[in-house]
Amino acid sequence: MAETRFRAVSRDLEAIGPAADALRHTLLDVLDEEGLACVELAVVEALTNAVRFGTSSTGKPIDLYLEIDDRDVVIEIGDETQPDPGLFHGAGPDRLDFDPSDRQSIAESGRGLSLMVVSMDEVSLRRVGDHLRLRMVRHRP
Amino acid sequence: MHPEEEINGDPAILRIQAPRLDASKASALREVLVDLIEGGQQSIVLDLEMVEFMDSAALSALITAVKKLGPLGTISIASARFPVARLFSITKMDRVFPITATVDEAVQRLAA
Repeated sequence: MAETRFRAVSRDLEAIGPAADALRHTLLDVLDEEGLACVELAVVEALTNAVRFGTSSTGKPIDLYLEIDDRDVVIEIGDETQPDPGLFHGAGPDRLDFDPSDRQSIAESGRGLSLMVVSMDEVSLRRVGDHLRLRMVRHRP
Repeated sequence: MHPEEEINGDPAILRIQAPRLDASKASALREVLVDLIEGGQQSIVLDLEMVEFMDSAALSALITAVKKLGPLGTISIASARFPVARLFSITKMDRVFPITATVDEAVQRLAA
């Protein structure tokens, strides 16, 4: 579980970069280069989805939680807009495949969830009270 | 994205001067590329040396552009740092966008 709020992120695409920069800086001595790249990509994709598809009526920021222990980096994202419990169904490396010989058939979007799955060791939704939080775990090297 | 890019010659070399290519910049990137293509450019080298991070939204802009180019046009990716190169690798987009270590190498390949 990640109960320490690392940052509140405004519902603005411009706010995601500074939050990701701060997270990467915090994890510099915790993860290796690959782990840092994976976590940053997964968190940016998750926050971008929340900003783009969230339907907050209050404009309340998105909460980014971080917990670091001897084995894992645990990141959770809590938002007023609740994720669909089946959000990650089918997401993964197979969803990223395509036929390179037919450019016109290549999907222009829809990779975010699969990138989160392939970048993290665990991706799930965790119930906290009456809310679901996106939970992502990256094992430490 | 103006003035964060520099465009020179043929092939067009688009040097991105922002440290992050993400959803906040994807539309601008798409517009710059589409403008080049509609101007008749068939070969574009995207110099990403200064880019420390790229996400799927920016990748989507490149895919839109390469589809608009058609089967004979090329968008080459030069000087990508590890997190950016990894994005092209895990999305298998390195099969669509030739990846080179330097801009010069990309230009040479396009001339070959």
